[in-house]
This record gives sequence, structure tokens and C-alpha cells, in this order.
Amino acid sequence: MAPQFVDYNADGHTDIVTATFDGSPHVSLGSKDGFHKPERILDGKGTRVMLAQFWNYKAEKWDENPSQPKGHCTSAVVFDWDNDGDFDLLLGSYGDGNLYRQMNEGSAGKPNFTGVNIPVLEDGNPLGVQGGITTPRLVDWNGDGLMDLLCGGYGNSYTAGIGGVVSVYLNTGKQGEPSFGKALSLIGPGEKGGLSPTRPDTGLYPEAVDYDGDGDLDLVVGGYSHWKPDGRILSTEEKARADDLTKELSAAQSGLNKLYEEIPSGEDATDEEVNEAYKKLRGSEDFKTLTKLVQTTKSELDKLIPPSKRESFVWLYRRTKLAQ
Amino acid sequence: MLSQFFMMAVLAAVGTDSAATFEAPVQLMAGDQTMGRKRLYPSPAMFDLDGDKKPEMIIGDLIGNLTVSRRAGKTWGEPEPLRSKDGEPLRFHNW
Repeated sequence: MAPQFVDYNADGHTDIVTATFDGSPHVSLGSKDGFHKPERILDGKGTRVMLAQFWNYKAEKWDENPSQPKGHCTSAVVFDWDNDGDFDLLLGSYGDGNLYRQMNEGSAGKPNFTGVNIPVLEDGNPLGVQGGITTPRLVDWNGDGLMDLLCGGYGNSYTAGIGGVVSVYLNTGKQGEPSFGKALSLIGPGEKGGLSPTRPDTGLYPEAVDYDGDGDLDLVVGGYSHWKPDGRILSTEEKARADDLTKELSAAQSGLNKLYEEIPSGEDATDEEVNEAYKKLRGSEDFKTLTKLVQTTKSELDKLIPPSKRESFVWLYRRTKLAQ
Repeated sequence: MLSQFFMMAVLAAVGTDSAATFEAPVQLMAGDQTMGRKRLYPSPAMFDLDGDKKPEMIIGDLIGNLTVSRRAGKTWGEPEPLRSKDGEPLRFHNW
């Protein structure tokens, strides 16, 4: 969600702007008494701000808005793009990594967002963060007085694919007319698979801040580390047992997969049919037996061969001082 | 010795462009736990919430929760929920 602490409505109190996985930006307005309950940010017509994909609370399902560009907004920050004294919106898209801006034609105290999402460009082309964008951040990275764009990337979190990145897009435009150059890599793709956690590999959420007060910007980065702990040396008997357990686990998982294949799918399957099939599946003896077998087999196998780990941490990347 | 340290710093650098280079990353701690532990996609932000000129560390997550850790010397204190004006943990709406 990547919260942004900013005076969104220009009332002198800090507010919190962010987007959640429901596909829309939200704001918690601050006051002298503290933060108010978060509310959805609406455009000038009172319509929920979004890209195409969103969670439809009324229908309780994922939905598409064909009038908006393809994408799923899961991150948002405000930024006075055109330097007219009020905040415009930047919306990050989860899957394709694109970034959009929505202009504010109102005022600082009374936002009036247009409802029109305009692609943000990177070196003249639509910006696209490899592996999906976690969050945009505006920061004067190179100290030239213009706000540059810092973006994190998800990378592939569940398979062997490439990990997440952090990049900066330097602003080569001018005040009120930002123009972002090509991505410069600050943190390269996570490689995953070391013996211990050494860095965030996927889901990299960056914050640029002078952490140590030495006058330059460091990075604080949240994300997942992926590693595979080194196992102990197994005896001959243990190796044989591990082989047997691996085969048993594979067979049990295949059995479960076959049961799942009985769940109706495709456009003809109604939600009721699918829910009923899942209910029936979970109540069946075959499902219960195979699920328990997977759990007990995996538990014993993990004690012999430690499984891969994926855990969340927050990391500090301190800027290196190199000799001039 | 100095040149050896310099080489180590360069080797540990992660940046692949002249935009910046960094020392090898270190895990931050909050209380006696690693920061961001067991949070779904932790997203950090540093901001001085209480006006004491010392930024707090606020961690958001995919669920929509926010926690705050305050500076405790060179490390950070235990994370606590960021609360609304009514004293309830602030939670952003999610699906």
C-alpha cells in the first residue's frame, strides 16, 4: 500500500494517501485530533478513481471498467504535476507496471480530479516497471530542484522468474512540465535462492530518505527475501527415507490436483456451482485423507531437507561514499 | 588497509548505474524482531508524526494496516498500530 504522508487537502494537517489492492486510492484526513477513518478518493463527478480492474464491493467480485486503461491500481501518490498549486494523482498499476496521472482541475482545498488517466512516459514511451510496480515515490534524487520518480517492482514472487527492482527516472523537464528519462537501476533484480536472506528479492517497496543524516539519500526497502537454508548431511537411511517421502508427497499432491480438476471452471460455471463444488470437495473423505497425508509427509521431509524460505523484512541500503 | 576497505565497498555496491551505489543491505530491527516480519508486502515510510524532529518508521501492508516504530537509539522500538483520532487502529479499506 505504501503510505504517503502529505497535506492532501491543504488544511495544515498531515493526511495519509495510499491505494489498496481493491484498485482505488484512499485518503485518511488528518486533523488536530488525529487521523480520520480512511475514505475513497473520488473524481470530480463523484466516481471512484480507478484503472480498469477493480474489486466491485456491490457484486463482490473482480470487475472491469472498459472506459479506463488496462491495469489494476494498487499504489497511489499525490504530486503537483503541473505546478498549479494543487495535487494531481499518480496511479501505479500492479500487473503491467504502468503509471498513470490524473489531473486535478480543482484547487488545493477542493480537488476535482478529471477521471481521465494519462500514461506517464519514460524516455518518451509508457513507463513500465519490470514485474509490476509496487509504488511510485517522488523525490529530488539528483538534487537539481526537480522531483524525480522512484519506482519499486514486484518481480516474480512465486516461481523461479526474475526478482524485483528499484529504479529512478530522472526528471529532465522543468517545474510544471516533468519529463522522465529512462530507468536507472538503483537495485537490480533479486536473484533469490541463496543460503540465507541477504536482500529483498521480490515485492520491493522503496522509501528514499537521508537515513543517517550524512546529506545524501539512502533507501529503506521492504520486501520478501527468498532463500534455501543449507541442510545437514544425511545418513544413507535418511537419504532413502527422504526419497520415499518425496515420492509420497508427489503422489498425494497429484491426487489432490485430480480432485480439484472436478471443480467446474470456464465461463459457463456459475459462482454458486463453483462454491457448491468446493464445499463438497472439502467435505469428502478423499480430500481430508490426502490433505493430511501432504501435511504429515511434508512436515517429516522438511526436517530432513529444509524447504525454501520466503519471508518479509525491511532493509537499509546506505549510500556508498566513493572517493571523488 | 584503506584501499582494501574501498575495494570491499565497491564490491558490495549493488547499483548498476552511475545514479548511485550502496553498501550491502542490512536488515532493520524493530524491538527484538526483524522489521517487517510476518507482514504481507511491507511498505516503509519515514515521517515525523509527532513533531519531535525525529522521523518515525511507518510500515504499511497489503491488508491495509499501518504500524509505527519510534527511534530507540540506533534502532527502532516495537511496532504499534497507527491509530485514528478515535483510538482505533487505522485500517485502509481492502477487498
